[in-house]
Amino acid sequence: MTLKKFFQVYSGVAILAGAALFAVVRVAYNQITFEAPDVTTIRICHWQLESGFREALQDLIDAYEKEYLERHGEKVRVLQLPVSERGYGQFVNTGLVGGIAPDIIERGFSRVVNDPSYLTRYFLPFGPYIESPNPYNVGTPLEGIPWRQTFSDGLISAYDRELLDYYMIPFSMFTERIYYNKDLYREATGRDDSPTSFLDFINVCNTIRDYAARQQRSLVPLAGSKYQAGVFQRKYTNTFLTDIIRLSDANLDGKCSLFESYQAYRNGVWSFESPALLASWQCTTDIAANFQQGWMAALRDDAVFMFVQGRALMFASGSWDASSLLAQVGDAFEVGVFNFPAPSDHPEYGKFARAMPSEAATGGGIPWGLNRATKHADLCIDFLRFCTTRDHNAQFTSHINWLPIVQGVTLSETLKPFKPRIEGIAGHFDYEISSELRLRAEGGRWQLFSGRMTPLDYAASLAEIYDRTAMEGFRTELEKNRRNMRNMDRIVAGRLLALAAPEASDIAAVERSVMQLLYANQAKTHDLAMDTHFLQTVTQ
Amino acid sequence: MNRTQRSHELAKHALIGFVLFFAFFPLYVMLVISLKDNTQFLKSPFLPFAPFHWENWTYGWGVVNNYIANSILVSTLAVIGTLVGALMSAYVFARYTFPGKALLWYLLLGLLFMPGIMNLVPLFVLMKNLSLLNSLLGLALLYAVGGQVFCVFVLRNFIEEIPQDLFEAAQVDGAGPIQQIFTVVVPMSGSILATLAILQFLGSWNNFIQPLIFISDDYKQLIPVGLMRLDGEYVKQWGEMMAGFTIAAIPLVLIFLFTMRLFVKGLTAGAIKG
Amino acid sequence: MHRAVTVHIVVGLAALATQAMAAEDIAAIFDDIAHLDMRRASLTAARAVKAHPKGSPEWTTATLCLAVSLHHRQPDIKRDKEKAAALYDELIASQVPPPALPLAMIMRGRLADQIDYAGDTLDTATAVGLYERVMQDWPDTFFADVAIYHLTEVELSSMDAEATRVALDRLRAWLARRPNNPMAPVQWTLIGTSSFRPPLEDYAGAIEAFEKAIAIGLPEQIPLDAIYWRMGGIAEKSGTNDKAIQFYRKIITEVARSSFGFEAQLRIRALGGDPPELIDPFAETVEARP
Repeated sequence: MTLKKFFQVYSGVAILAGAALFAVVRVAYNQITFEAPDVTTIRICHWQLESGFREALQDLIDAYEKEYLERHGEKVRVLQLPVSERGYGQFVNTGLVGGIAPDIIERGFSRVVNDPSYLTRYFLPFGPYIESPNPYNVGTPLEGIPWRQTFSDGLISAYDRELLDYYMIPFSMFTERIYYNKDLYREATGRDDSPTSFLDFINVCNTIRDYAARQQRSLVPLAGSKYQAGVFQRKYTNTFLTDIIRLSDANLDGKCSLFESYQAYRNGVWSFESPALLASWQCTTDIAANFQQGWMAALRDDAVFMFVQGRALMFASGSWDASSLLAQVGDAFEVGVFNFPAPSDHPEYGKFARAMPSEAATGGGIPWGLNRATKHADLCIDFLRFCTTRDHNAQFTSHINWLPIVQGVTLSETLKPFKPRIEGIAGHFDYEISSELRLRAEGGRWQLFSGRMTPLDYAASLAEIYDRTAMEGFRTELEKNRRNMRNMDRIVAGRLLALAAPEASDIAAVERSVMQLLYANQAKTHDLAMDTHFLQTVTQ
Repeated sequence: MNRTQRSHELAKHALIGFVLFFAFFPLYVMLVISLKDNTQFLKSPFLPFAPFHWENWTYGWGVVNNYIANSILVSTLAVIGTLVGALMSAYVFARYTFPGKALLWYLLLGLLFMPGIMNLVPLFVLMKNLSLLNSLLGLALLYAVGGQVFCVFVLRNFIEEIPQDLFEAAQVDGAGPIQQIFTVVVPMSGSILATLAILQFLGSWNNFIQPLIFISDDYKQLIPVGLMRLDGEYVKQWGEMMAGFTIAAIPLVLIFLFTMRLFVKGLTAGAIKG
Repeated sequence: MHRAVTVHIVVGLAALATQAMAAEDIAAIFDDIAHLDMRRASLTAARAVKAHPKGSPEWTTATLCLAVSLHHRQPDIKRDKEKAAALYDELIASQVPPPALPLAMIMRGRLADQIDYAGDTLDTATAVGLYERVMQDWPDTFFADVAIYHLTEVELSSMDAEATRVALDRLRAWLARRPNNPMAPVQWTLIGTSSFRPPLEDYAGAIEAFEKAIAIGLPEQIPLDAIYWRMGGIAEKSGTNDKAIQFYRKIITEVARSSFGFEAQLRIRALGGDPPELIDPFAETVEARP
């Protein structure tokens, strides 16, 4: 056999054999490494694929494994499983149902991790752990303080009002802001300070457009996409509607539900041509006029690229993007951040908009839940406690430029603009009562914001559908509420039944929990009765 | 070659070139982007220019090497399991008569028409009850079982085509059924076995939904799901992502390079009778 | 003789095993119901009901569990609810001892006063009758406190002014008799919630009820800003601006992370008051730790 023939015959075999050998060795190595009998392994899964998150979490994990070995003389391994948003829900669902889900799970993207009936079945509550101090805080100013109170939100956002317990431990919190290219801003405006008011913000946008025209540069004031338009819409709609909310808010809870808005509409409190509503739409349209041409077809990533490439001065997004953006920009330019300015100084909008929405109740983000099927609940708690000391939370959040959640963590200069705004309005106005209206509102919204439709035309198109479908929508939403109340009743029944258990434990605690459940849902129950009565009255 | 022939040849080549362009362009783009950082990618995604970021490949290898190893192991085991099982079943169907044979055969064929996705929930429950979730061997077993029906269907016909005399001669020499399979069937069906092996390997390699559902640990995950996880960042690192994709494509390219001959032979085997 | 002893031992062991299994089953049912796994609970409970002689304590518990799990099993279908109703009725007719009996009556009442499945109708008369019986037969118990709460809810849903007044007066009388009952906070808030809106629009009564609820102690996990905001709004409606300012002020001074803080300041100013400064709950996150 010639060498050429030998090569022809055996090279393929050799490569295949080599590949198989590599696979066997690698898999065996992984098996030995990750499933060593002398190492306790806990797994933690999340969908945070932003730049820096995995590294920041891994730093905490490495430090924890080292400290655990020093403290206990035993090895522990924490494996992080990053899964992209697209497959996260399925990954968690199947894992929980199959009993193979990770020990610590970032809650989200799935009904199983949010619906109370599944939550109680698949997750352990943190209630028994959070009222005792975090042992890792010994020797720090937080020593002796219950773990719950070391979080800057007091874990209020972790409390499930239907299950009456705490079902997550957060690592951070998030706000939305406007990022801007400081170098370009300086160059175009000759200023160093960020826009101080709404009119100033609009002036800056105009200046940038003039500057781009003068310089014949491909440059727009704001990087746009539907996502970005949505950010501005969220910020600038309720801002205009505080008076309507107050007048429509029959149950005085500070919000205007679908039912309240419909009843107020019938009573003439507001219409689609209400100046405040028209102004709110016009405001977002004014802002969107500063996006690039054809922004409606752009994706969120396209907007990021425009900003990173210096083709847009500003870019609106959440603090969760800070790290990725800074990494992308690198040394190309300095990134600044400022808050959405309230249009209170605008001659027209100022009549309606007193302040932007309040962020005082901003809750914790990165909600870690504890898998009920975990064999290492105490170890998981220990790990979460380790991660939520002041120093470790500072280390973690500074690594990825996210807001810390533990009390007393120093904010870096980069993060200061993200600090939640406490001066702001609280209300919320909801009128999209039928699916047909929701579709029309969603479809027409982009035409409105892109200037192809006037606010009055948009109002007319919504009013037509609202008048036709609102009653049916009211009925459907009412039915949904009735089902929600029915689900709540399941939880109450479960608690009440505990009184009949052969070894009924703490009877007073059971009684208290029944009372708390009924309290948490009382307003909704009463609203349901009122709204049902209203429906009966108007349909008679 | 006259003018008409030349123009025909030209048109043929142009068509082939056109098809090849569309086939190879994505690979080319993947390769080019894998050597760029995001700034270069944003400037010009399609043209290669210095500096080349080979570190993307280091990163990509770091991310995908586990997935590749797992995929190779699972696919190889699946191929072995499928062929061994299918060969024996096909041999029985081809060589023996027994009560209910026709019924069993049609039941088996019926499975061919069942969409795989329909079985997902019962399979999940079964795998859970057998404690085979999150296990590479469990997944390989699943693939091996899943591949049986098609392979048995193809192999039965091939074994039936083998002259009866060969089996009788082997029997006279004292060969039992297993020996007959290895001394008569395997040598005579080499090309079709190779084709089935390749098809099965490809099927296992590209299967997305089952590893997504049945494997939870990242270090046990297979290539398709692993690649999806690469493509999940809010602000994507295109170079690193494409380097990972390119590395992940290499094993399949190699397999095709070295087995293409067998594959084509297997596909055409039996096309001409005689 | 020897054989008879062996048989006795085997039978005895088998009985013990059955009992042990049944006790585990019952515990498992309660656990499943607590975690809302009604389907599994109903299957286990059905087995447990069959395993015990009718009338025994185990049978009673298992039957109640079966009824509750069928009552709340999803999807909500007519057959399950009818079966649950029949089981509750059987327990009530058998006069099983408490706590099973009052619990069965309350649960049966809930089944009657709610729409459980498509095509279901309300049977408030049955519900009212059962709640009243619980209140009569176990007047000084938690069961009665729960029963009067649900009874009031049923009567309030008529939206009739007179019926509402009667129901709330009866609840007030109950609270006067049992001021510290475990349900008192939520009973007071029920009075408050249903007083300030039509048909009564009794603003003073509502504020008084909310104040009593807060004084007794509302669940601490739910911030009080929403209730203060509501009380401020009611006080404004009733023209008692001083009171309104007082409630708005509490939002700022007592609830650290309230999204109503800024608006409370605005309201205080609008009513001619001088609002306190907002406390920045995130201020600590700005200060560096030495």
